[in-house]
Amino acid sequence: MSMTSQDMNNLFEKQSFLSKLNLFDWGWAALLLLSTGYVWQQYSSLMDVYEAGILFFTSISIIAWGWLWKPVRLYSISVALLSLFAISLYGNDLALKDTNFFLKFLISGESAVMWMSALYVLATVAYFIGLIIGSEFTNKTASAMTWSATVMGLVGLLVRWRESYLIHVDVGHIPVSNLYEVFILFSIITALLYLYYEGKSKTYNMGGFVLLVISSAVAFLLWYGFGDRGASEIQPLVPALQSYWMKIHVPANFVGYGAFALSAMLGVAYLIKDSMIQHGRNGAIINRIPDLDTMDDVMYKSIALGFAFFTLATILGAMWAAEAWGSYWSWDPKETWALIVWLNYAAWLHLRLTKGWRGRPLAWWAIIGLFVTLFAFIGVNMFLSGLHSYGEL
Amino acid sequence: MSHENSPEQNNNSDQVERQRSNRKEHGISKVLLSFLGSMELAISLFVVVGIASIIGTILQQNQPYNTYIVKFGPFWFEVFRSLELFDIYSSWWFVVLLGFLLVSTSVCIYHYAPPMIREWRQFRLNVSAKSLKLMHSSGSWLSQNNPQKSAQFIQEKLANGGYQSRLKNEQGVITIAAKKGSANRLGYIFTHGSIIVICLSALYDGNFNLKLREVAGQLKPETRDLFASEVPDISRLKAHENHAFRGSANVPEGSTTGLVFLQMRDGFLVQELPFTITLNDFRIEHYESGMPKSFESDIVIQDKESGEKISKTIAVNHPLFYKDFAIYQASFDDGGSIMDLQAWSLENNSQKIMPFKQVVGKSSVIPTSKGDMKLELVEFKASNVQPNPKAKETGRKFKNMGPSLTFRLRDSSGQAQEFINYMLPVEQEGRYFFLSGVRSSTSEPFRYLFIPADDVNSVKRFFDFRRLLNNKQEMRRIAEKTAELSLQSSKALDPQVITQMAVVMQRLVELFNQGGFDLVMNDINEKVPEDKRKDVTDSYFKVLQTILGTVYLEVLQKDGVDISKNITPTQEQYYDDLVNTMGILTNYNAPFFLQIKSFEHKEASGFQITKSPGKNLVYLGCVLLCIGIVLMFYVAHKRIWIIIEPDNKTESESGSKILASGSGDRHQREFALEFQALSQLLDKHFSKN
Ligand code: HEM
Repeated sequence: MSMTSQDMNNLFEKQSFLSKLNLFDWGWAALLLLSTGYVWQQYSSLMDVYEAGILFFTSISIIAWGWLWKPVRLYSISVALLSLFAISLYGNDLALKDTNFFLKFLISGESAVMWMSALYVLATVAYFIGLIIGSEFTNKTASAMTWSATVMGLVGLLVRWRESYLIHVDVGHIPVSNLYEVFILFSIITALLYLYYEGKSKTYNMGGFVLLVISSAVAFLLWYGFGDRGASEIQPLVPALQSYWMKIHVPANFVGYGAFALSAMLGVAYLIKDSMIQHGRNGAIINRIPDLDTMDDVMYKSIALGFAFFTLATILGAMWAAEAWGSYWSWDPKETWALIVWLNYAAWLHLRLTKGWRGRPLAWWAIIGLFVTLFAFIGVNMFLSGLHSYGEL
Repeated sequence: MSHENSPEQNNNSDQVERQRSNRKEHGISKVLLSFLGSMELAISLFVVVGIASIIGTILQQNQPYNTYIVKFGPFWFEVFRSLELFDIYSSWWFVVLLGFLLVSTSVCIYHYAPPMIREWRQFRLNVSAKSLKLMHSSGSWLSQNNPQKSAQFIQEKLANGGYQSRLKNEQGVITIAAKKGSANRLGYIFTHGSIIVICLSALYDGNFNLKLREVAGQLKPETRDLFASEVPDISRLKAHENHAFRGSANVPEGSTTGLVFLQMRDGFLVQELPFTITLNDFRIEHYESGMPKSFESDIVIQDKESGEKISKTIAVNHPLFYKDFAIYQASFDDGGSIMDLQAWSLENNSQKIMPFKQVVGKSSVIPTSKGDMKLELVEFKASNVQPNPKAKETGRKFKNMGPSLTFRLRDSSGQAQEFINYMLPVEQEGRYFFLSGVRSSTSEPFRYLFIPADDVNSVKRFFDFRRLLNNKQEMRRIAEKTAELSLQSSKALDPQVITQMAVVMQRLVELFNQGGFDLVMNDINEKVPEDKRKDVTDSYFKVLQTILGTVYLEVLQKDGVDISKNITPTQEQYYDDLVNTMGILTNYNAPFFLQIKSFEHKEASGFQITKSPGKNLVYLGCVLLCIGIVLMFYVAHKRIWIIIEPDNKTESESGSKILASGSGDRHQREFALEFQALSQLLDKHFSKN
């Protein structure tokens, strides 16, 4: 989101992007290409053109992602190793979930999500402690916990994906089809967005605020997934959801939701700091929260990112609807709420850009925006009926 | 709080960029245009459209009008209806709102685009040193080189940084104007232009033309429940009359249709198609849990003019595109399954009803003692998969309860009860029962009646038993016989006592028949003083059991069971279940029990047929929108100016004085860093001034 001066230093010297890459970067690319090659060699006979395209496109995207944001490399490798380990432990026997030590306690779909949940909550607490006592060590621990939680979350989803196939080939599907699954997705995407910002700005003191919203998501997840509803159980897909579109539409949507959530939490921090300053309270804790302008700026960047992804997701949704229901727009409650969310942030962006609004009013608006978003995200499924009937409460 | 002018804007020599074009506009048109293009209007529209949309999601749209009347009462119904709240998204006022948004965006483009295009093409070499010094980021340096050389050096560096530049030499003073990220401006045009493209194409795909024709009196939606063939011409659209529509058709297996229904508020229009659709086969697969896994239809399309035929299988997410039309698998339904039914009367003066056939979705009239009743068959399900309560023992998570029929019985006043009957008996603790659920409104859960299945898995013995209990003559005979038999042992064969007892027995049976054991209890409570009640109750129940037992034996005997031997435990258990069920029959409150003897299953496939010529334009708009947004957010429009004057004070006497300055428009923070990098670079080569 924000560039550091280091990135810029050599801007005006003749230098190509590639020459800035070091040995690790090339090693990373080689590792990914090799694994892709291996997958291709093993499974190419089972793939159609699209799938092959997706494989190579994904692989190249991850390479680029790792080049642009270095921590991604360790992150992806950890996720890949843990997931592969879990999958190899399973073999073809889903029942091992309850007997194998590693699966039962660590990396079955459900256990990994449990670890994710615990780690996010701990990280939230740690970030706040870090903020209050101003300890660098605590902050770094919190950050490490957030990273680990995010690893476990993605491992949980990937392993769950495999588990769905182990139940039955017909049941197998990408785990973004019910509220339980998308809440996991929401948590890890929001966390990644935050971690990106944390890495770039080198301030840990926003962590608690952002992780608060993730912890709430986790609370919902536990209540919803493991309570009476048993939503954590893998359910087969209704015919309308059996589509490639789902694989891109849902994650794109959640980048949007995650970014909006991030901006709202920055809004909260902004308002707290601002009113403290206005009341003349200027303690160490307040000073540790990043300065108002920075937060304002990141809030804007985050909403912009969210808006871009949300627009894309809505368009993908329309295209999917055109294929599944015969109409790209049918004013179904979910669609309509997507429009409402979209208009809301469009208004936000216009006020900032053309009217020059800054600070408090926009911070408030970002917070209200989160409630609008939340309604679009769960409220619609809870209170309104429509074609998007998956994951009803 | 809100700053009308952000600091960025204040000091920004780029300010022209944000200014509207200074086209000559006069008088009213000027006022109107500036109103329509104002940000205030735009934001208000965002908010109003948002709120209207919210109403539309809270108030369920396009329900039958009756539902609304029941919900809101006639007064509010009328108010809401006149505001078109039941079909907001195609209401006049909503479309007008969207129209305003469209106009507002167009005017906005009209205002901003020309200066932006100019901005993006121009390098703006006419800057003064004074204005440069006022900018956020600026700095000055001294160079030993002459202006040309310095300029060349700087231009090179700027090019490295991705800047395009132009150079002007005016009497030895060199001005370099450099810019990058002009595409940002294009982003604005794409984003806002795409909104116009999308809205217009979507409007073209909507049913706006039909509404206009309705107002002109050329069309009238049909609100009655008619067959398509009976719909009058004023509610019909010819095949080529309508450029865009979205309709639905339910086609039973083996049938052909050439039309679709377009829903309009509480009515519909019949739209003829230039082709026919024949459903050859419909297939549905289920998961183990009974949830549909996939459904698909083998259809044949035949062009009405050319006779050309196309066969294809369509499924959910796999539509068929034919000419301008798209045919989607939307749903499935019963296509008129034929049910073979038998009604077993539950009334006391029972009449026998002959077996009959009835098609699902149709109704028939059945005579009962309370007058004729309308039997409406609502839904037939060929299977009912449910979670298996014995999943652990049997290892099967689900069990199939078999076919079921949902039907309603409506009396002459229009009151209806809903029933669900299962065709096959269901196991309960090792015994089998026929289930029938009943409820008086769809919001209630079903209450179930369990009719025990007899030796041959039928309900016959149950109803034989009932019929016998209802037969006064037979009951007198059986009562006397039973009384005689039971008194034999007590050796007091007084005929009067026997008759008395037989009378008591008949009366008890009658009570039992009308209201089960409960009614018998009530009767005792009413008539017998409290101190004797217990004794009387005991003896009455004994007597009742005896006679019911005898009746049961007679029924068995008629069925050809040899009752001289002991009856089997199963038969005994059956008797207990029978008596229990009899006892609660009054709660069932229906004139008969409807048995499903057999059925002929017919399915219908639900198609959605659309013609949306604007679709590709909408997609084009979407692509523009995405590109536009990315350009606006992630391409920063930045400018750098350099003014180089000859400077004779330097050692070389042919040095130069460099003034650099720049602006990052909306991306001041990044630009500040970028300018810092440039400054550091210049620091290395030149000396600070
Ligand atoms: C549904 C309709 C509209 C959408 C989706 C939309 C979307 C956007 C977006 C995404 C931005 C970029 C914000 C940013 O870079 O952070 C923007 C900027 C802008 N919009 Fe709109 N807009 C709409 C209608 C309008 C209308 C009606 C007006 C005129 C009153 C308008 C005037 C502007 C202006 C002046 C800018 C700033 C351009 C710049 O300085 O680069 N927009 N719009």
